[in-house]
Amino acid sequence: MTGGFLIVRRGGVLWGLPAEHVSGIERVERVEPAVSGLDLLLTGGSRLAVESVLTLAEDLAVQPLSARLRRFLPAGSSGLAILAGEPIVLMMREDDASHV
Amino acid sequence: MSTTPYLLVRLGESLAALPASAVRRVVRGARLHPLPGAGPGLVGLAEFAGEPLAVLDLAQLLGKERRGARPAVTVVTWLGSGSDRELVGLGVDEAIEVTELDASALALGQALVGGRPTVVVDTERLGVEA
Repeated sequence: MTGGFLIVRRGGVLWGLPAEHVSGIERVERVEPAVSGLDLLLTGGSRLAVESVLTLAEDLAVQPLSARLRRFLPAGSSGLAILAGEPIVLMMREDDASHV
Repeated sequence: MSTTPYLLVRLGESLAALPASAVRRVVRGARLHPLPGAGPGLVGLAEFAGEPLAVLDLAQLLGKERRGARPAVTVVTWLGSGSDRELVGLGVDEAIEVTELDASALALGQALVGGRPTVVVDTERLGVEA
């Protein structure tokens, strides 16, 4: 995938990952908790479990995180945006995504 | 004696005063999206006027412990100054009224409102790590 952000739902919240950092999506059956879900296959070889994949957003108005807000957001968060009225946390680097 | 308008808010059993000039809107029952893995002090994310808004717990920013449910009211407020200025939500339990405080209250960081001790919030400094 190239360009834009892949928008996924994880922990009930929307996250945006740079699409070029995602090499694939795989459906998985989890034992604990016993739910089916999706794994994003990241270009660095790691996986990121998500509840659903929503869309590929090409044009997002990204609001970079200020120093004031950065310490409140999960590690690896680098910006915020809005999609269809719902806030998105944006990740910028693949290695950060594994911390989500 | 010159006075400045402040929005008086309740944080549990405590009172705090926010400079009215920094307050953009008071929203009851804002749609908040709690963020798993976020640090203490972040109530969640919201949308305000088409922009993402981080909603912080004012009580925790002031070093108080939050007890009970998440804040019921979001005060959309400018923090910082100049190029550092940004809009955030401050979660509080109740927005009470706008009151006039002596101009020296901000420097003191506290005031008496109706005989009750009240934290006077410096919105230019709030949320900045020492």
